[in-house]
Amino acid sequence: MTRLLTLLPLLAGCLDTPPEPELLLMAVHFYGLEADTLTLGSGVELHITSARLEIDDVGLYRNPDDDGSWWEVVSLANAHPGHAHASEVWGEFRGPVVVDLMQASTELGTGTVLQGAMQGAWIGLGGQDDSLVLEGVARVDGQERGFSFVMPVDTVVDDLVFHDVATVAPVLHLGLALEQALGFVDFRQEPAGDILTEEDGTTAHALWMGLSQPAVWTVALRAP
Amino acid sequence: MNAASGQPRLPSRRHAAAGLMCLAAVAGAQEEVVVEAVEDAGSASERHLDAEELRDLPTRSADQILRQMPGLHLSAHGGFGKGYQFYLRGFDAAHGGDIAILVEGIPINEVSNVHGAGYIDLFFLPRAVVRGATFTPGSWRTDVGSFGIAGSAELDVGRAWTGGELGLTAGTDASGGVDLVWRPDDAPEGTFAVAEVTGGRGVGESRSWLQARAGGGWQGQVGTTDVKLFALGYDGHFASPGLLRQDDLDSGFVDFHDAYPGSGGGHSSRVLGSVRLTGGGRDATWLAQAYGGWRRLRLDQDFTGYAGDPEHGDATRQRHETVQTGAFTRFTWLPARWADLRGGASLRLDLIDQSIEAIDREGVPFATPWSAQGLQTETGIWGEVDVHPAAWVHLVAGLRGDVYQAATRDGEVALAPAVSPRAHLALHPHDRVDVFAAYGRAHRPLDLQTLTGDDGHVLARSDGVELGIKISPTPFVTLRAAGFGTLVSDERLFDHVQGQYISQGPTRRLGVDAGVSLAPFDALRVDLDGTWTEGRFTQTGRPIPNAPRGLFRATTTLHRLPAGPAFVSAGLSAFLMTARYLPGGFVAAPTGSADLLVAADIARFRLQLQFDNVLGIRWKDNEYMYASHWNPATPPSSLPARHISAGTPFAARLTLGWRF
Repeated sequence: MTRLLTLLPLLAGCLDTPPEPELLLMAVHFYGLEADTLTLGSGVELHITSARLEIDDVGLYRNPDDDGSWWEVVSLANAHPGHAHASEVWGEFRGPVVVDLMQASTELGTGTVLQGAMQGAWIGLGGQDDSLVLEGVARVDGQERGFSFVMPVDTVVDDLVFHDVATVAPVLHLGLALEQALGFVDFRQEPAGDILTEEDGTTAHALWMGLSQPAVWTVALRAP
Repeated sequence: MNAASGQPRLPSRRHAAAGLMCLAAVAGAQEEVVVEAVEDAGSASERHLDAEELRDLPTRSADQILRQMPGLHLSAHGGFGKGYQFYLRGFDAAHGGDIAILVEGIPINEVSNVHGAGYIDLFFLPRAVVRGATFTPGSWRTDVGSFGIAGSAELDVGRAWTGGELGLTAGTDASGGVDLVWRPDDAPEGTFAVAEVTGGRGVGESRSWLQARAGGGWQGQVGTTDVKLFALGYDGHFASPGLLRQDDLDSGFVDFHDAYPGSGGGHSSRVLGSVRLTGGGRDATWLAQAYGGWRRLRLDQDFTGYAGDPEHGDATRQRHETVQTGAFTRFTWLPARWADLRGGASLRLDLIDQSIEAIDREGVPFATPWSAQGLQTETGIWGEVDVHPAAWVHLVAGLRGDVYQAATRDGEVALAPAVSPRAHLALHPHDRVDVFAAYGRAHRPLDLQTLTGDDGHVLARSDGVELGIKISPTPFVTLRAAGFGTLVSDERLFDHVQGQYISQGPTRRLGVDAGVSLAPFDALRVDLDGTWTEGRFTQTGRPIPNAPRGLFRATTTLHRLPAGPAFVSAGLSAFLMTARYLPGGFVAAPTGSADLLVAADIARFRLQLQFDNVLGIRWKDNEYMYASHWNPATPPSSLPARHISAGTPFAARLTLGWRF
């Protein structure tokens, strides 16, 4: 009798069992510098001798409006999570891992991702004192000047958009257009990369500002 | 059997005058039972249970009585003492946000409760003095105000039987209890005294409880006015097992009835008092009632472990304290044989002090992310006309107006008026057939935590319709079926992180609610109910998550069947819930359980054995998808993970009762 009754939920479940998103492994590749010499928009030419960046983690999220994952129908409830949305994160790679930007391509490791269409991503950059190491020589107006940036970054670059809303594939490609990030640095000043002041009065290192721009990053999900 | 009619205990199909009192003797019993006849059902899904039926049902608290509402599912994840979670007709009503509960006419939903809007906690109410319950799915009742979006239920306070009864309980879940209830001979049901103490360790970890409740009531005549007053007090502590990650279960890190360290618990207290005056004559009756009370709730909880704060953990302490007071009046006037007029007005005030604190593993607060003090008022007025030009037709058209007001000490003020037309039609074209149609508009009230948002002053509106039929092919069988639909103008979620409402857009819910009631002989009643609901966001077509799609319930009561020197009673309550959508495209597995009560009355003694989860199934009470981190041996992850609340484990409790 008990067995018979335990079958009832199974029978009820057979009425309709829509498929759930599967959890997949996801290889994560980082695309760094293709050449060790960069020409900035200002005409400054940089020869990079050392470039490392610590990535804490990477998160992928879906478009909440598309799949309804974000919000659901409840009145106000601080009861517990799970009412409102399952998670803001649908794919992740957890570090920290130090990326050698001098390498054209680096495999960072393996992350996990839930099956479905991704909307965008965020990248968490490290907060250690040497999370960013960037050294080299700048040719400015015919003169060569050495530069060395060693600093914590400690920020999350958000709103990285998959230009084509991607169906999840097992390989996540991350790219950094370093020359664009370095474009925030005025190499004609001594020393280069001084503090910038924003409109609201906050200050930040110019290179930090550059790395914090979503536009200098690219994300893509591709087939292996 | 229905004590009033002597007929099998099926819902009455005859129109009866409201307020009619009748007296009947219970077969085989020396006590007298006073039963207040209720108006005929206004829909095919409405249900009324009297004290005898409630006594035979396997319930542990007054909250569990609500399980008899067709289409309603109660979920428990917080230990014995925390309010339940409600799902009704495609609504995830959370802790009561979309279902209105009245106790002797008093609105019990807690406005702006810090744990969830409309929080319902009926642990203050001793089951021994619940003399009847009426369940009304839908929003067509004109006298029901805030929170009555998906449905409403009203519990009547009083003692159905005269004399006293002392009960001693002990259970396999290391529980025990003493309860005492008394109603003087020749006194009406509103005169009683009751006291209960119950406690236990429970089965599994973090499931202990200790509760005490007591109260008394008096009912009598003062001149031509019937006076009824009562006061109830409650204090309860409980531990809460919270939720468990499915992968922690699979890996053996926790067992099914374990709890994570620091899963929480709570302390709930309430005092509620009421004075009701009723009077009138043959053609007009009136009722005036005032009530007041104090309420305090403290909940410690942690559902995410160290996912948010790896250093201190994510535990929070929610505090909510309210002084609630209010009054309402109702009248009925019969100006003609073919028409009744009914109406009323109400005022409710809640003085609220609440906070959410972040606490460490020792329970020491280290941050207060939310606190608020404020005053909320709800003022309502309603009226309806019941036209019955012939005995077989009743058309009730009503209108209610409400003004919701909320103000915080910080100066945020909101004022929101609402007008709600409601109507229902009951046709009785044949002696064995009833046809129903109903419509009702309802609104979600304001919440203190929403007042800072841009849209926090806007009330969400619902419009619900229902068409139903009830057929009794024989006196012992009643078939019922109803189709229902509800449109919500804008589903809104308050994001307490951003401090604003998030608009979801309109939704629609369509469903069918059907059932059969069998009473093959006087002592036996069988109710089989099934509800299927499809809820969708209107604009996108995506499903509304959480709420059950298919819910099936079987309820059987056997009342005082003679067996030698004893009278045997029994009650079985079982449910089966189909797979349902969770946020993000996930799916909760089907689940179900059954509780059983068996009792024998011999002379002045009653021997009662009650089983929780009589089949001993490891069933999942609920499932949620979200990120958490409990096991330090596993890396943290922000991906949603499946969490479950373990369903009530098997337990048996033996009660020895003595009537005096």
